[in-house]
Amino acid sequence: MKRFSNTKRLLRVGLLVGCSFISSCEDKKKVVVSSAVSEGTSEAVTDNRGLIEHIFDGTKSDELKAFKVTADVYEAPALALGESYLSVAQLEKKSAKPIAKLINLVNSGEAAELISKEDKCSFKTDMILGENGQMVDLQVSLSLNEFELSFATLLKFTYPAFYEVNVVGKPDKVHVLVLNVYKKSKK
Amino acid sequence: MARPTQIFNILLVILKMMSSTLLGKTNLEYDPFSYMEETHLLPRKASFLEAKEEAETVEIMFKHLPLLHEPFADLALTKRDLRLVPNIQKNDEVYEMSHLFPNCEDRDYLWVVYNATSSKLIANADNLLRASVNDYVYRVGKRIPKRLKFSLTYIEVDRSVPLVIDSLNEANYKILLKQAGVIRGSERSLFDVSEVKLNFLKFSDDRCYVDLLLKLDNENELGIKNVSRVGDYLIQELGVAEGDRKRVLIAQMDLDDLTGILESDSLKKLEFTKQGEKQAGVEEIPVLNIAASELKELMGYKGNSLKAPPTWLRGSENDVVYDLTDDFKRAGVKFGNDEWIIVNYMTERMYIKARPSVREQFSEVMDNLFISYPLRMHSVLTFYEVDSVVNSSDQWNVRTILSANPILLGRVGVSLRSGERMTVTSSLGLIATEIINGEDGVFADHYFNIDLKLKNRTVRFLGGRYFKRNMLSFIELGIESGKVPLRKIIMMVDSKDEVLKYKRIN
Repeated sequence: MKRFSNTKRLLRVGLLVGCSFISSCEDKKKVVVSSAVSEGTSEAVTDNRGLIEHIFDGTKSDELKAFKVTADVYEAPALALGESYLSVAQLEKKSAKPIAKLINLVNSGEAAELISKEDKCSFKTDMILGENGQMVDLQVSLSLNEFELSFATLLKFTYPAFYEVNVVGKPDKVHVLVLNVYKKSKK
Repeated sequence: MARPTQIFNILLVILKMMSSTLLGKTNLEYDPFSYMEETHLLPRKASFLEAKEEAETVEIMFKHLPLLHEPFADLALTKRDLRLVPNIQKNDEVYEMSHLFPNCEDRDYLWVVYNATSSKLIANADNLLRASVNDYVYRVGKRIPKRLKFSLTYIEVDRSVPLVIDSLNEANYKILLKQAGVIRGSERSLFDVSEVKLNFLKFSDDRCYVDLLLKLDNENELGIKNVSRVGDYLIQELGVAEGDRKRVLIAQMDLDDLTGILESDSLKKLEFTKQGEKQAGVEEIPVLNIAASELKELMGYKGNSLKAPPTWLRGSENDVVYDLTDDFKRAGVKFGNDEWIIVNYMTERMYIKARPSVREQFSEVMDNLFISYPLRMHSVLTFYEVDSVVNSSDQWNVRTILSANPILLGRVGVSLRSGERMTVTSSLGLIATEIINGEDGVFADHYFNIDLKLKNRTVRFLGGRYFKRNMLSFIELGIESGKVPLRKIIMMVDSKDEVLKYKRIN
């Protein structure tokens, strides 16, 4: 009887391992590991629309206390003088084209740098949790081809900040960066 | 008879209790910073301005508050049944705060809670509690870290287009640079893009120091150091342009509260949402811009003088009203019984009820407190080549220029505050300028270092001129060599002050 239950347990474990292997294979269909950056791993995801996607895992310590800093870059039509983009819905309404989605998984007080030589982009963040744990103090450097930004800002969780830079040689276009930070980044 | 181990255990428990009590007291009494933080931001008790009771209206109020100053660990989740209250969902984190508000004491039907999920302070409030909640949110709002939200657009457009956003949008303009974003605004910030460096230092409630460098390319650079007001919407001709063109900077500087709500927007919405009645014997005085900020710094926020806004007050739903009578008494104004001066910080209006002689004393104190001074001076320098035969002296004017076969060479826009310097380097050359206001408030010294090449003419000038502000001035720069008849280059300086001061409504 005891042997039977052991066999049952083994079968159950085997089934679980098998399932997770299959699901991980499915997950990685689109994932190409591009490069390993110092003290972290970077993954690139490419799809048919030409969207550049990278995730960098810079979490060194407790991953449960990790945060997700996201940078979504769009090419959008320039708005009228004196106006700037204030929401993702507004970008979608103006048929803005997503160019890149860069994600850094970080712990508070630790810097992370995502680099992709292939896509000529980098995304560096240095984040400190502040003010009763309700906001973060963030230093950001981002470059993507000719689009470059570096600044320090404050972010409240889930409230995005918008940045705009005119596209050189295209007076009617702007690059828009949507920066956001979330708790519990791992899953 | 107790055993030694039992006695030891009892002693240990007593010792532990004593030490925790002592440690608790130590933390509470001897940490100066935590003490200061708490006392400054504790909700304050509001009272009525005059002895007669105002009509009480109890209703639920909602106040946007992005961050709570109190740590959540110090607050308990509310046990109130708030299912019927709008803006509260089933799974929201809602903390009880009624015990912190003195105006809730002995009145169970009044309460205050904080919805951490929707960032809203919600209260069931009467007139007094409403005043206390408004004041608390106002003071916490001042402590919340702010970001600088900026938008800079630099364009080139025909010189005839008025500096009005609609006219510029309709014109055929060329964008030279466009940047927008939000950066850390509490201290020193630097926004460093390939083409913009923005240094920002906030030094009072509504003013900041801005050091802006626009770098269009290796040759074209525009540097401005300036004091700017929060919510400023600047449309200003700046930089060098040749011929019939001009360069215009459209800049917006504002503070946001991390959720995207702008300080100036929230203030605009607050302006006079209530219809007040004219009250006999009460004079209304708008304390504009700078003066309101300085008033807050001078007078501070007085805990014991918070007032529920009287029904006649022409104000907003968010009024924060303080009684300043005692402060002005200390400054020498002899207020009698039933005479007072109050300020509404939200609408930046003061209201005085006093005899004419006391009002006169009050005016004198105000005049001494808030002298008017220009925030900045906008100037446009226009360069013409003209026949020299018409005028041999410096007494040029628009009429003589028009009659001297003028050729427009180009223009430079500058924006300066007294003692500040602006530099422009361009493919057309260099210009640096500085202005020093005279003590009389009428004249100013304007210094120039100009070395430009406009329409193949060399335009050079190094020196200063003492001239009357808000007037057109003309400076003869030199003679164009080798031309018959002789041609001269004239610089026309058109300057305008932006002056802010408090003023009275008569």
